[in-house]
Parts: sequence; C-alpha cells; structure tokens
Amino acid sequence: MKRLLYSITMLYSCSDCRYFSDDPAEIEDAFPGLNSLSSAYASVRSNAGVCSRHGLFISPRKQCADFEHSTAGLQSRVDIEDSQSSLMPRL
Amino acid sequence: MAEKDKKSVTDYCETKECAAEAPPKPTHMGWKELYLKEDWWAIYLGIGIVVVSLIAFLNGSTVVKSLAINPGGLKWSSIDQLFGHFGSNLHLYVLQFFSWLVIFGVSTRIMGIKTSEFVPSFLFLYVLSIIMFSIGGWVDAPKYNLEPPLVALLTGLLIANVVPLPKWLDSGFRVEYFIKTGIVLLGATFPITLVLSAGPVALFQATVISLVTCLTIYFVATKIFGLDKRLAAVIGTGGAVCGVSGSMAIASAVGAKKEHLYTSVTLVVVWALIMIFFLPFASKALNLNPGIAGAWVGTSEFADAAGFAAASAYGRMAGNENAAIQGFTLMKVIGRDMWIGIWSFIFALIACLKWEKEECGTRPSPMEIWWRFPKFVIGFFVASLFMTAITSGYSTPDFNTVVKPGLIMPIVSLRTWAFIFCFLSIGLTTRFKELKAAGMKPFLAFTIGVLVNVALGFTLSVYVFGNYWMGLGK
Repeated sequence: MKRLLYSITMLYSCSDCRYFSDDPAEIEDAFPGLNSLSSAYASVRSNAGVCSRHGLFISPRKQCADFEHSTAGLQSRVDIEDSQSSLMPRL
Repeated sequence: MAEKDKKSVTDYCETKECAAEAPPKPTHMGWKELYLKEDWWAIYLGIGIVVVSLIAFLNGSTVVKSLAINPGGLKWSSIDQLFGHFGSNLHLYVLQFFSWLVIFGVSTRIMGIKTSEFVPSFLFLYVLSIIMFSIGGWVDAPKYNLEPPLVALLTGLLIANVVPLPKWLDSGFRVEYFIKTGIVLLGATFPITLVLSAGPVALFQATVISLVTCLTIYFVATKIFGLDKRLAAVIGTGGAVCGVSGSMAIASAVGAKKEHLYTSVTLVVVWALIMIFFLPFASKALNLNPGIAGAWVGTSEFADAAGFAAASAYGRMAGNENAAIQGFTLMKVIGRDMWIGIWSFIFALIACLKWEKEECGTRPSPMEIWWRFPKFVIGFFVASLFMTAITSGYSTPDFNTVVKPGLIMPIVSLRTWAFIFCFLSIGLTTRFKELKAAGMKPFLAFTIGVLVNVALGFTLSVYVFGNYWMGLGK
C-alpha cells in the first residue's frame, strides 16, 4: 500500500505544487540582472521555475517529498504515508 | 494527524481506480511554447518582415525601403542638416515607430507583458535609438570611436545607474527578444553556402572552447575552491556556452539553489560588459582582420547580445562590419548556442544519477535537448535558406544594382534597428547596485575560466583557423 501511495503521489511533480512558480515576470523580478543578457521568456528556460519551499531553481518535472498541490489542498507524500501508516497495517 | 487531514488524504486517493484518475505527469509546455516564448515570436517577426520585404520588392513597392529609414548613414556635419532630415521624413519615422510598436507590442502582450507598461517604455527606447543612430551618423563619429553599439550601451548604463528609472520600464527593454529578431533578420542576409562551408569549423572550434572552458571552471571551482558541484556547473556553462541563458538552463537541470543563479548572473553580466569593450579595442590594438576578430568575440563573449555589440563595434572600426558579424554569428550562434540543450541533458543526468540518487524524481528526458534548444536559430537558418534560394536566380551585376538596394539593404537597416534596441536595453536593464554579491571563490574560478577562454579563443581564431575567418565578409 505504501508503495502504491508513493507511486500515486509521484504522479505529481513540481509544476502542480503550490511552492513552484514559473511565471516569467516573477522570475525576472527574482533574479536581478537576468533580463540584462537573457530572458525568462526564452526557450532555453523551458518552463523551469522557482521552488519557494527549498529556494531552488528547478525543472517542473522534478518531484519531492514536500509536494503540496497548488489547488486541491492535497497532501505531501510524507503526510500521506504517515496517515496511511496509522490507518492500515504495513505491507 | 487531524481528522480533517485524514479525510483529505482518503478523498485524494485510496484505491487503484483513483490512481488512474490522477493527473498525468507533466511534460513540456507543448504547443503553448509557440506563442509564449520569444524565440518563436522572433522567428515569426523576422520571417514575416523578410516575406513582406520580398513581396514589396517583387511588386516594385518602396514601402519597406521607406519604413527602414534611419539616420545612421547620413554623414551629417551640421545640426541643421540633421534636423532637415527629420523634418522632411517625420511621417516615415512616425509610421516606423507605430509599425515596431504594433509588432512588438502585440507579441509581448500575448507573452504576458503588460501593454500599459510596454508602450511608454518602447516610446522611450525608440527616441533614444534615434539619438544613437544620429550620433553614429555624424561625419566625425568614427574619428572619436563613437560606434553606435558602444555608445548605446554606455548611454543605457549611465541612465540606468544614475537616473532612478521605474522598474516597470523594463517591460519594453526586451534585450533577448530584440537580438533574436535581429539574428533572424541577419539570416536573410547570410548566404547558406557560407554556413555550410564555415559551419563545421565553427562547430569544431566551439566544441573545443566550450569543453575546455566549462571543465576548467568546473574543476577549479570544485577541486581548488571546494565549491558546490551545482554552482560549479552553473557558472561553468555560463562562462563556456551561453552566459545567463546557459546558466539558467543548467541551474534548472541540476536543481541549483537560487543563490547559484544569482552568482552566475552577476559574474556573467560583469564579465560580459568588460568584454564588450575589451575585445573590440584589443582587436584594434592587434589590428586583427574583422572576420578573425568576429570569431574571437564569438568564442570569448558570453551572451549573444553582448557579443553582437562587440563584434559590430569592431567591424565598424575596421571598416567591414559584415565580416565581424559573420565571424561572430558562425562561432556563437551556430557553434556555441547549439550546445545549451546537450549540456542541460548531460548535467541533468549527472545530477540525477550521481548527485541525488535518493531523490531524483523523474529521470531526465533526452527531449531536454529540444526543449531547451534556442529555437530562434531555426529562424536564422530558414531566413538564410529562403533568401539564398530567392537571390540565387540573379546575376552578380543584377544582385548588386537591383536586389541589394531594393531588398537586402532595407532588411539590413531593420536588423540594425533591432540591434540598437537591444544594445540600449542591455544598458538600461543593468543596475549594478541590484546585482547580488558573487563571492570571491566563484569570482576567481570564473575569472580563471575567462582567461583560459580568451587565450584559447585567440589562438584558435588567429593561428589555427585564421585562414577560414579571414575570408569572411567578401
């Protein structure tokens, strides 16, 4: 069960996470000087963005244990595992 | 855990059936890239301008030629002469301003930039550009090295760092968008045969320089200064491949800290600005052939925008801007920029398989190479192929007397406008006090890489492949 829950949570990635922002205007504000010789609207950025939880500049395809859904209030992988472990016997 | 939280967990997914309903793994931004990224817009605008110019040319219309007006070639010697030019052509400048405003304004709006901020900002930029062209058109400008790219850059820097301009004005100072549009337009005046003949040399030289510079910075940073591997990768590719754009791509590929990108942005911006002035004047002191100097600039400058400023400035000093720009384009745009996606994928793999085995998440996809590919390069090739095919039907005398003044020169003038917008924007967006401190160790590691790059770039451009670069611009 734990493995199943893990794999389900891992269907989500940073792009769905409330801590992740790939808004180009916000990125240019966050990195002073970035627009002097580059641009957040460029193809090379792809849709990478800032993770405010860990202070990282990352690909939206990354995944981590602190995931929290941006809209539905879904729980992080750790929370899910913790709650399930208290509800069900370990597999 | 609270009862409410437990409910949300079970609501979320408790069964295998529910798993199937979960959203799919996100992939790339897909088709949205076609209207949300400036690379594609640069292609649409550049190719669009070329096609419209061609249609006008074939129909005997001079509308594009009139709209491509600029005072850069006036060679005026009195203010009256300059004002007389503006007085008699005011309607053309007004029409030109609105044409630029519409094509850049609409496209930036679609990308998400506020029109209410873009319009006043672009008006300011356009007026400044007119002044820069006018300075360049002064008959004595070459005597005082008043090259428009350098004057535009210095003027922008002075304004940005002395006058407290509101930050929202940056909405119209789209450095990358302007330079990419200019590069696509440059493709229309760049024979594809030249790309095919000199391209392999450029690719080889770029490969050597990219590998050596990146590995130098990486190993100095990690082995000598003990810096974080991610930081080393970010500044390494910033110095070796494509400046801030390269750093941004690698930072996201390896999951770098925000501080790593701050550091790289500062290092690249400061060194790129130094190189914009150092490379042209060093080339002048060494009396380098403009094609060779262009290749050197292409090897040793960090960003396309900065490199075009340096190459264009030296080309004008040496009396053959075309050769310097061709050398730079072959080396930087065709040679080095191509590497961005490949470096991203390689570093993403290393980060996933070596640095973060336990929490890698999705394994990097080879599609990274395409996702991060600087798409405007495609526009450059398409424009080059298209115009080479069109003009190949003309004899050399016809080309020089009919095609060149009627079709090629208007496109060159519009390209120069895009470049001047870009050079001014570099200065106007560079506020030194806003740049974050880089730290001594990253600065030293990057500087060692720069020194290796400049020396190796000079050796390759002058002694190893000098014969190839010398033939450019003829």
